[in-house]
Amino acid sequence: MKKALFVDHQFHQKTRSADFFVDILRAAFDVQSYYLEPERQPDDGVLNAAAGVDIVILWQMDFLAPLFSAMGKPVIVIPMFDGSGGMPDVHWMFARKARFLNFSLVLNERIRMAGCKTMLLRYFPEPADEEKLPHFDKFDAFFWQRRPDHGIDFRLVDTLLGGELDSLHLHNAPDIVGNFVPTLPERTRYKFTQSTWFKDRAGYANCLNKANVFIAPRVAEGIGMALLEAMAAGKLVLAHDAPTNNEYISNWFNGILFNKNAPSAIQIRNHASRIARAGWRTVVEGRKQWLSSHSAIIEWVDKAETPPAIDMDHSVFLRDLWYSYYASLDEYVSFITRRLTVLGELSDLPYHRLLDALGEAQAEQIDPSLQLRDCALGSNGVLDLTNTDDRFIGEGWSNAEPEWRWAVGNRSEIHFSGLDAGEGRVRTCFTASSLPQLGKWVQCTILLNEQIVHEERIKPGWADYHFEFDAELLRHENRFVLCFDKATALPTDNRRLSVCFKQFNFSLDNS
Amino acid sequence: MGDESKSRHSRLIILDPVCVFPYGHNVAAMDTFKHFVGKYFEEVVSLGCNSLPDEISAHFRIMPTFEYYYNDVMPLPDAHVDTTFPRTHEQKTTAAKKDLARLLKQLEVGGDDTICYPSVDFYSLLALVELIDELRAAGSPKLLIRLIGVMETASSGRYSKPLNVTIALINRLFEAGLPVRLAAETPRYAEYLAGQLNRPVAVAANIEIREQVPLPQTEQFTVICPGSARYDKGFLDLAELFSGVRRRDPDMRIRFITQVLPDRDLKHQIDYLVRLYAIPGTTLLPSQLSPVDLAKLYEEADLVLLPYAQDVYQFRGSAVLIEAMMSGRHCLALEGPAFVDQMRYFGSGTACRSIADMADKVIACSMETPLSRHAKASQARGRFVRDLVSSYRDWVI
Repeated sequence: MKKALFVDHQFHQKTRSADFFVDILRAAFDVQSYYLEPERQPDDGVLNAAAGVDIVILWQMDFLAPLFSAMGKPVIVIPMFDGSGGMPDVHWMFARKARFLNFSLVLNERIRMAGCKTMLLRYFPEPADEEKLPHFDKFDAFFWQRRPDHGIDFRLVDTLLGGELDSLHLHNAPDIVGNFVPTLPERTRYKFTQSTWFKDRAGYANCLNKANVFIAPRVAEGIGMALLEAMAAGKLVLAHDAPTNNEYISNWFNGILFNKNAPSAIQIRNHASRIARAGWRTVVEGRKQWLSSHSAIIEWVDKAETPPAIDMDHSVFLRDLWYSYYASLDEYVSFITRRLTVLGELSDLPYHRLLDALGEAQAEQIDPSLQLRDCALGSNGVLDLTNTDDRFIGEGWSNAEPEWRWAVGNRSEIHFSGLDAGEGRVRTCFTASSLPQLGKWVQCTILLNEQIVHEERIKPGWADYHFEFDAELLRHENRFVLCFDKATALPTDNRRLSVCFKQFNFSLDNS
Repeated sequence: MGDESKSRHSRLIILDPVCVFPYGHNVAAMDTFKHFVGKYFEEVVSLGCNSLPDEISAHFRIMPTFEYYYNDVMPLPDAHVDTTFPRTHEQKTTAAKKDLARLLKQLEVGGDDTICYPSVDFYSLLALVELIDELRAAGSPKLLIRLIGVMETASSGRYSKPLNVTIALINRLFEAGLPVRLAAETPRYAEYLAGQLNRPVAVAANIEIREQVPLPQTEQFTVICPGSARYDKGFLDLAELFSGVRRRDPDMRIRFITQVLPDRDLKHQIDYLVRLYAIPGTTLLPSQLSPVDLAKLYEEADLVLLPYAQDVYQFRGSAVLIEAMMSGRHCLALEGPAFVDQMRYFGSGTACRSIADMADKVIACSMETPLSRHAKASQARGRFVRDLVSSYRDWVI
């Protein structure tokens, strides 16, 4: 039996959240677990542990893949969307000798398109027996307020469901330190209860099991265990529209997706029973698929290729990787940039491809007629900059984050088409916030197809800004250029940031 | 056909400068033409693009002959933009003329030869017209030209009405007295061309020789969308379609399997892909599948969906329709495309008015007994095979 080293985050030793996966591995491998603590110094012991095994499996700690590849070990990486969804191409190139297992479709496609070997998985827990499914003659919700700082908090839940619930239990135990005491509305139609801790898991489970409505507590997930367990128990689940929540929920069929940035009341009473049952059926069918995928997982792990070892001081490499990764994303990319030779060896890519990745090379021009982008706006006229879909994005932007996208530097470009107005005015509204460190405002000048159409002082804090322009300025494909008078790097982020945006809304005024 | 016909047709030269990708239908068409049309000839020579991967050209015995004139329209994988592929209309015209002139000379093409284009492309037609004198001097070999409504209008954006130019080029070949025999992939396209050219145009559907496969013996009802999923093949309608079915079938007896867009398009449609993926009972497959995996897909299927765009497929046939028909699978297609006429004629599928109507018809099909579906599919297949053999014989002989 091959020996496998399962390297995981110390935190999971307590939560046991990776145990289901380790159990699958144990059917075919002699698995030894090793837990690392990011808050501490790099632990050289992991090198000794890896030296004695046939294969290294990294749960989330994808940045360590190049280390074990350099040791000549076959490496399997299981990254998570919530931790690694925003990593740049070079991060995945650095781990190109590894094989990946992904629980998120979005992350899987990202890594596959970066040239890595990857297999998509879909986890489903054991479903409850049909006769034990909850009834929906009344509506009792459970909400664990884990990350109120991300906007999924009591107030949001009250806005979404306050008019529908008979009771709401708030488990107010945030993952972060802070005072997040809920302010109850003056009048609520539902009974409100609250807890801040449970003596044991059974206490938590008892409280949860009294509910038939479950609100997913986080913006994005790696797998989404809590949501899936709620679905499996036949509860109605509601979650913010982001991976992996939206990879399991087909909106209004087996769950409900909401936008935490634009919350409004959701009428669940006439649909809850049907949707919750569809959620449970999803798990019943999904569970069969999940169980049948175990042999493929084992084969995928077993067939991981052994890369040639690289002659280097692995202990030093671990330290450098560790410190740069946990310092900041920019520091980490900077570290990779300094180690291009190793990156070349670990990726088997020619030098120019590495430069393309580091410099985020633009596609070369072939023919002007072929440069038309697929950047058509939808019929609602919304240009959403928070989508992972980046077809509107030109130069000068960060990767999409769940809530916003940063303009990087003093000039950012957006492309769009599909506003085919012959005449009249185009009303435009955009949502933005300037970086507080830049003072009271950032001056933003907006050019449409080389003509200035608006100037605005964008202030810290989210606000809507409005302006109009003449529809005659529109072309088949349009280019917005946003110029900012200020941009700065932060102690923890070397990018020069100025303003972050959510979206632009366009509407035609033919009057 | 017996030896008599072979003695009258010495050599068949099959040409396809777009036979360049290891996947897709061009290589398969080369092979099927070699066997299906080649049986009327003593010798067959297959000529493809010189960028076709070596192992493919060796396996199918396709001689690398032509430059690739269409890299700007359909880029080769990993083909860098500044390579020596012809880019302008003039460069392409010159390259195509040079390639054809060279092969006429190298193969010593004569009056007994037949030059066959399984799916003619624009620059090959242009080259034929440019080399009318050379073709006459060679004894006017017979020209079998088949049009499928795809590459014969790929004129690099030079013409806003390229089909007019294509028709003019074909007329020129006739005027020059060359023995041209035309065929189109669909009856509708054949009628259109015949009307424009005032000449007979045969109907020559996609050649398929696969066997009928038994319907799957499972409790589930599997619906597939095969072929490289593309915008014009209705990829962006699938979420509405699958959701519509799912709402009517909450217990998930009906399953969906679809290929997804190629990466160059998919990277802009990740949000949509997530929506599709989240619909329970949906399996996503890569945009390219091997012939073995594709055959397996038909084996697993109960029903094939073709929500193709009406405008793009106004004259076009569908290789998937033919594959499905030969595999013994019923199809559902949106009204409008030319292949829907064939589907109706052979009884191999049902036309739908809209995506919602298609969702209703998926449910209706899932209620039919396997025995009834098998009987219908066998009848359609049998009629299609007999029609295919006779129509090709009439065109070639």
